Amino acid sequence: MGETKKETLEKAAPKRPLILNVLRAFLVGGIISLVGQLLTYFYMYFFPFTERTASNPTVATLVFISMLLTGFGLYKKIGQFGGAGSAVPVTGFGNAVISAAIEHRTEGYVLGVGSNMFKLAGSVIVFGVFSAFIVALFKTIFVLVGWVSW
Amino acid sequence: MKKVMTMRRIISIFIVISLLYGCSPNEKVQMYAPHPTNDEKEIVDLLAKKEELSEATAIFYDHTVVVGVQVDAMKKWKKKKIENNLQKELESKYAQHEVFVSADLKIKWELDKVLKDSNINQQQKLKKSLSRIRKLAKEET
Repeated sequence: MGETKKETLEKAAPKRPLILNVLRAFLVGGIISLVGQLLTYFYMYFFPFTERTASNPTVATLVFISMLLTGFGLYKKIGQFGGAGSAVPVTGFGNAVISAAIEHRTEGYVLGVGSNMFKLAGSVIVFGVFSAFIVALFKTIFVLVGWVSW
Repeated sequence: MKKVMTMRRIISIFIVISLLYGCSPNEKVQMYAPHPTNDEKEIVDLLAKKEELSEATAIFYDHTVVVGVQVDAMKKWKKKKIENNLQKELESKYAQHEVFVSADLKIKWELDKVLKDSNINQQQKLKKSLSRIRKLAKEET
């Protein structure tokens, strides 16, 4: 019996440094979250935002920064080092939007950039909205039962 | 090698600053009352005894008490519950006061600002500041 394609590929591929990758992802994700927390405190301290409302401008700023970094080709380097640590936070969303826009720039602004911009980020929005709905549904049930409060 | 040394130095300075900040003595409950009575003192004692709170600021004005609390970091997921329980407890114990409790850090910061304000004794200004803070706490967007 010959080897399957998958087995051959697994043998040929270099071994992944799993623990190192996890540590790098933890570090990069942690740093992005720290920047987010500092931004929240900035908006709370200098503007009339409460802990609850400051999350909106914080997310917007993080997405904007990651979009700029993607445009300047810097987010790619962070992604190469941090892996999932740079993709999972909300900054990964900004990166997905702009990288798709850059990739399809040559196809024109309407049919290229316009129609492909959310090619990657579209799934983030769909599953984000869906999981938010599920979480809200469970929370409503738990509140009605009396296990948790709003 | 030089980079490692610089990194070590930065990390050591950061640890020392964190330790100094963490160990600095800070009163748990700060309060302002133009005419302190037993009720005010009792409320301050009650807040000081709460283990789930790391800091609290209370301002009393004309049978109204506005309390801003900072919930302990490890108990933050129960923040809303702690806030509601404290509100109910104070309302039931001190029915003659209008009680407003918030566990939002911004509200505590704003109350701290009012405490440090030199115009705190001007009743009209204090009333205006407190109503602004209460409005801010209800802000949803």
